[in-house]
Amino acid sequence: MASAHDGSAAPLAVSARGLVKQFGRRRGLDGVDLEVPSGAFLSIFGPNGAGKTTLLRMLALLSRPTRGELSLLGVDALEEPDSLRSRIGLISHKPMLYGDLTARENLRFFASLYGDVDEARIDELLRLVELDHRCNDCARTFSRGMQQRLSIARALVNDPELVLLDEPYSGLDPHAAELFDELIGRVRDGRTFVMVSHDLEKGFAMCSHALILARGRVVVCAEKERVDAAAFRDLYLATVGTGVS
Amino acid sequence: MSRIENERVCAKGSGGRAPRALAQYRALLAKDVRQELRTREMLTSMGVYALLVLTIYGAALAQVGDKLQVVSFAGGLLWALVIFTSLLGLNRSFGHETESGCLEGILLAPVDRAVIFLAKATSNLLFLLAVEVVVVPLFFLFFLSGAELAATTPLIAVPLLVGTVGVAGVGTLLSTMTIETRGRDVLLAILFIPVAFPLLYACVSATTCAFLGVEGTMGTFWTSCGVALVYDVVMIAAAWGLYEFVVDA
Amino acid sequence: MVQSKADRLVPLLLLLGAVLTAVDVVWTFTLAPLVQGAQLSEPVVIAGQMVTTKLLLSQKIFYLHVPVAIASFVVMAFLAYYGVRFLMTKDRAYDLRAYVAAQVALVFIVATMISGDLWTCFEWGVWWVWEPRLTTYFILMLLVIGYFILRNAIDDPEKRARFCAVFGIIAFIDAPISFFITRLVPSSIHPVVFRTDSGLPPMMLIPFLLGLFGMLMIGFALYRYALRVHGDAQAVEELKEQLEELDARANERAAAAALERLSARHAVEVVREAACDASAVAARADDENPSKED
Repeated sequence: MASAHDGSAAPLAVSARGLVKQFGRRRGLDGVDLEVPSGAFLSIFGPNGAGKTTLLRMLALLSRPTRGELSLLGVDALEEPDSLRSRIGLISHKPMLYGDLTARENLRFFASLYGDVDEARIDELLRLVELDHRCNDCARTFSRGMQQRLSIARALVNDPELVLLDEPYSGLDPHAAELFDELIGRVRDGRTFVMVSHDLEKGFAMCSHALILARGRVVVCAEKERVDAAAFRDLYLATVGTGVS
Repeated sequence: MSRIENERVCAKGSGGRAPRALAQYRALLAKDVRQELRTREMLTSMGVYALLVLTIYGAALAQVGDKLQVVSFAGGLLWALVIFTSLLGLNRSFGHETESGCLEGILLAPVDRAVIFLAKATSNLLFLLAVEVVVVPLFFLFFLSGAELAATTPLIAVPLLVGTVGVAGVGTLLSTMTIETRGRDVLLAILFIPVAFPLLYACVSATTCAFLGVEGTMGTFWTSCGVALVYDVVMIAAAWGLYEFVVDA
Repeated sequence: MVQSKADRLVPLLLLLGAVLTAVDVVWTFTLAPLVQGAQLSEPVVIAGQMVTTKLLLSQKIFYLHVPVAIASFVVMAFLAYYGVRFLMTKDRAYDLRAYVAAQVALVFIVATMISGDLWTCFEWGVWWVWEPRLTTYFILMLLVIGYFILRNAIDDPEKRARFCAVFGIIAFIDAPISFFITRLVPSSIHPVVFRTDSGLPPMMLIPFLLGLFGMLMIGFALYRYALRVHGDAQAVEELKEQLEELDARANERAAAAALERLSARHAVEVVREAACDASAVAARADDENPSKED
């Protein structure tokens, strides 16, 4: 898989073939094929239980597929997950921060899991998410929006090439969500994004590629430019309407 | 471009597996200790709880006049205190990790799962020992202050240490499992007490030997400590190997 | 999957096991010689009571109690084995097997506890002694009960299987401890049954072995039966899912039409074949689209 793309002009950030996550007779994912070029922003939509989060956890190497091939950033993710982990970041709806550690301590801790801590980089990240004035306050005292911003900084401590977003807007007020978008825009450069979202408007506005997942299968995956927004919306509503039995 | 990135990351994460694991272990441990020193959540709750258990002992033993009688079962009392107090602490030890998904944040990083286990077990061990350092003298003060203590009494430190290591090891594995279940507090007790029972049995035996200090029982003391040590080794090895399956899907 | 050729032999095995056990019981009370303090040769003080060698009839429990106890250890080993297999393969079938093994283990453990307690009562004159063998075996029962409580406390079947497999392995560690403890702890007053110098006379050995094999057969038959019951329950679930799948397929044409309409508008140029699969797009699309198309 990986070798097929090696040396090509635009290597694929994500390349999956026939991903299956099975438990018992239920299939969380039922043969997902996926190709995301480097630098793209893929939004994944779908009804509850469609397998969106399962897919994202698989891309984050938190869960292994039952069957199928997966290579991330040109590396076989099933063979050498450890070397890949330091190149991937995840921002979830849960902030993944220690409430009793300060913003700086949180970043320092997570950075130390990836290697030597670079204080200059931590300062830079704190400035980026505009929390440098509160870097010595405990994360518990932060508002939801601030926590989510700090969470972006946390996900970037290892300078990941692939950033995964799992329902990042849940619990954010419109203003915080706007700030969040702006921040993501600022760190877009050179990174590939994969986002799972319920929010069609926002998700569609940000993405370069859009995907609808239902019952563990890809209904449609296309470049945004080639998709008519209204039609995509119709298809999405039709799919969500089906829900999960 | 991918090549260059690859090398950059390799360089970033290099330095050999073992030194990196050690650095991660230290970071995880330091994080736990720093949090605990800031909130003192586990230490205060365990300390107060231990004090309450001592109070209950006070009521339970109010009618036992002779201090000598207490010495004969002080080992059992002490261990009941340790087990109940550690249960409370173990239940709390993963609260911070799951509260906002931090455990997942750690699992995202290239950290060996066994290192996560070891760091958590070590921090639990440290907190349990810290509480014991306060509580055991209190136990002596309340129940054994008038009694004539055998010369071998200081030896109770050996089973206390060996036992606490086992409690921290098994407890860390089991509390990782129970933290995300329904009725986790009770469930941890239901799973932990039977699993830790052989250890408890051996430690009570050793502690009682040390308390009584009867000629010729030192053999039993060391045998019991040995059994407890074997239990520690077996259980921590099993927990070490199985931890990956508990945290990884 | 659960049904296999071997299953046809299961009723036969159960019958054979029952017959062997029955022969064991009959033999025990007719042919096997009475024992004079073979287990306990001198008066012993237990719980403040002087117990002498009035063994006689009570020793007969040995022919049932020990086989059941051994069978329970064997089933426990299977519980741990299937746990390991599950963790290695992540195949849910092994989780089901471990669960069934735990059920059978509990039955045998309770039987052992009851028969053992009767013996203790006659032999030692007390219902319960905190003696190493009894205690560790009691702990084994608590561990198996804990296994079921853990199972019930987790909803996600994948996580439940993982945690139960891990706990099953940890719990099994107590089984060899319980088995060997009579040898390890000198103060144990529970008789050591298996030793090289036991020299059980044939008249006693034969019924004992009959009981042992009978119990193992019964254990295996119970396991297969329970497995089949659970397998059937799963099959019912599967049929339900298939029905739902059929429901979804009934909407296939409408869904396909909806996609076609979108394609016709050149809205979506890249439509995966998967999209045509009716299971993906379904019910409401069906309700809404026909009217629009008309």
